[in-house]
Amino acid sequence: MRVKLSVSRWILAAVLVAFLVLSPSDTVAAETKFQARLVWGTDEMKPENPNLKEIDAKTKEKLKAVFKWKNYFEVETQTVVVGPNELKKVKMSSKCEIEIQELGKDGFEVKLFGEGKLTKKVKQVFPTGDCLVLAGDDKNSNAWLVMLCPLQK
Amino acid sequence: MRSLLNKMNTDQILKLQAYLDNEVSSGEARRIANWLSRDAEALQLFQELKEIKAAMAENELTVSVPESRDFYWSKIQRGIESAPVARPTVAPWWFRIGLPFAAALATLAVLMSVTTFDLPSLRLRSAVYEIDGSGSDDGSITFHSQSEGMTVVWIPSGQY
Repeated sequence: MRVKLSVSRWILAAVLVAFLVLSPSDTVAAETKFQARLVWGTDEMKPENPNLKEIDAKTKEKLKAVFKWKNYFEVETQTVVVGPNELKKVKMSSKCEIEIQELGKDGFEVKLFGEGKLTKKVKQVFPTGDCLVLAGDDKNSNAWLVMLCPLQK
Repeated sequence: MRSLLNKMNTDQILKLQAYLDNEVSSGEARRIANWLSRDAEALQLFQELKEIKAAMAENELTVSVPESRDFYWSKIQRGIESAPVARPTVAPWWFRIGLPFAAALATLAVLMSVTTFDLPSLRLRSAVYEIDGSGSDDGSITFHSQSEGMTVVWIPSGQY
């Protein structure tokens, strides 16, 4: 009987530790720094707009692994810091704007506006290093992508 | 006898032996009997062969079995019955079910890792287990790529 009690005690302890480790924290969320990028995906080798620069190789490989286009050019890059319960607006271009609302343990709500009109609303909890990519078709079989990546502190 | 054998051809000698052993037809036996009545040397050879045959039959060594016939053959029968029977080996049930299932899973994993399939304007290279694709009412498609560490929301044309 003594042996049984000690085993169940260990099991209970393990379950409690696992619960504490895995459960989301109730503490107040710290600020989160994001990199927001507007990217143009295309099979063209060189864009007509000279202001566009090719995206970094690491990001390019990630995008090529998911999307079909061969080349990706950065249209706009901005860094945004979102505090607890804070709403931040980021203008990516004359036609594209995003809003990031911190929701505490529920993560973030990201809204995409196209020409002033709400296009898409997404709730996202950002696992470490993971990015949120909102994308769609552009003219001439190209694509636009809005990449929102949390930056490491 | 040697001189007699030298005078006759092989065929004649064989016929005499067959006649001696009653292994010829009745017609052939009559012809041989006529031949023996006319050929003294053939008759002499026949007689010598007959004596040799009798001597061998009479002086054949007898082999005695130290036990009775029934006991001897029953021992052989028991030996045959007690010999181990080769039984076919059957693999355990989990092996028989698990191996084909595992092979099918492995094949599927290989195929999915190199398979591309098309969603509108997308080519996804991630394995199927990475994709938690879901459609929404507005037609957008959301999926997560574990390997590339990104959640993609594809917004179809006309939505923006």
